[in-house]
Amino acid sequence: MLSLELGRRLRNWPLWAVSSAIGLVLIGVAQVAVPALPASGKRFVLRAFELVGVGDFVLLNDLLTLYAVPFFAGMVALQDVLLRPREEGLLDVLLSKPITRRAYWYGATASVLVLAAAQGILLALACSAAVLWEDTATVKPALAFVSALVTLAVALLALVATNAAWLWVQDSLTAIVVGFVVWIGPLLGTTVFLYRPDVMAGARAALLAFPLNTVWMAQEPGVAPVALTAIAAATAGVLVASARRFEQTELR
Amino acid sequence: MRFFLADLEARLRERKIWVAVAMFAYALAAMPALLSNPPAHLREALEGWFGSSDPFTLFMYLWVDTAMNKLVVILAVAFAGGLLVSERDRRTLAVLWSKPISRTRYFLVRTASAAAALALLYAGLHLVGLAWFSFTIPGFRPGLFILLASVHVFAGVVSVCLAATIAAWVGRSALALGLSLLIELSLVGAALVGFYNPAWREAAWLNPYALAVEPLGHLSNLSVMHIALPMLSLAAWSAAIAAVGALGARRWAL
Repeated sequence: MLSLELGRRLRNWPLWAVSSAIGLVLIGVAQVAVPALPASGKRFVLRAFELVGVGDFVLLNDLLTLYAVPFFAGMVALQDVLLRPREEGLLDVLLSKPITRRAYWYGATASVLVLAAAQGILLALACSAAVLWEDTATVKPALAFVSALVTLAVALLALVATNAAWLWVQDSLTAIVVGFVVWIGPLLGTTVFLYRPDVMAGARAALLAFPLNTVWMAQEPGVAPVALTAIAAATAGVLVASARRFEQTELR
Repeated sequence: MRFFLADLEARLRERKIWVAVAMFAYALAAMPALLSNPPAHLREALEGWFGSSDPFTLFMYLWVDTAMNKLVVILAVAFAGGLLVSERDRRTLAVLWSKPISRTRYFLVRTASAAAALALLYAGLHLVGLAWFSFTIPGFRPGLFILLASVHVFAGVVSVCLAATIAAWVGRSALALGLSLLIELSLVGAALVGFYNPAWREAAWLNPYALAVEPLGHLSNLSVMHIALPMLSLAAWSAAIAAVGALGARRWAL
């Protein structure tokens, strides 16, 4: 089922190719733009986000790209799981095949997650390579890759959560707004950290100020395996719960 | 005109309007708490970028980043990113093309109705914001808030035209939506770069969203030109992008 669905998703290869190209361009632009900022601007960002060097600043920008590109490419690809077939009146045809609803849900969702993960790993490699040109004294490429993997894992969790939320959405364009709300939710911690560091500090910031906390992880890599395990468990939990809900939903 | 009004009315009844209202309501509620105790280093940075660090400048910096750079873009894509491709996927193009309306006109009217719906929603929510912020934000300047928001509406119209044009030229629903989201979010992400790096100020004006935030740099000496020029430039951007989209719409067969 997964390989069949994967083949179906790959027919939409221009989406993945073009979005990957946009991601690589954004990483390249940050590579030029961040070091070119006036010293006062760089000093502010390092101070405000408690970063060690310009390499961490570049990494923060790149991680935002890594969080955005696989999520948005995956989000529009996920519309083929439920929303578009329903709008086009094809869902009954898909579900009349000799497969269970649960198998369809897992196969169709996992195929998008696999492609988003593959794209994310490509961008994660670019993130860690980008660090090579910067201040490697403060952030090592291997550690930047680990931070990128954690960021990618959050993007995949957001994708699964979006897909689950769409079980209550009828229209594919409203679904875009709902998906955006799910995507931006984890970023709000960093906004609070910027404007109210007095309330978002210490362990709270380390837990909630995403993706800043994944940049800090490059200084404390021991946290990454714990974070990856927790995020993977949450992703699996949301996927299983959404499959159950899909089985019980009366589809119109 | 009747088609425009009917389409506008239909758009204003869509469920996504309520999701948008909920997003704006959350932003309205969060602003006073976020701005109640800004750190000193943030004030210093604002002084360097905008020549002022008074509470209203800080408020507008956060509000632009929330309302224009995030909510407007996502709503524009939701309103116009499926133009023509959705009709094709739902197999209603044959019915549409049998009506006495050209493809170009259909595209332009529906793009205009999406822009009008976004502008009405934006204006309505800013009127609520006007009342709310007058009581909750110290140093809030209502007149200036409305003036700046009126420039940002034009950026919203550019976003709608861009999303519709990408849909008309790309023709594949997932690719069109993905491209619209990534291109528009990248452009708004670079909107303030001319303030962060003054050496790039003029080059940044090639980005329409940078034009929309330009008045932020003149809050202490704002003149008619600081408002009118970005509005006119953004209107020209919208017209040019919509014209390209209309050309794309002409190619649409059944």
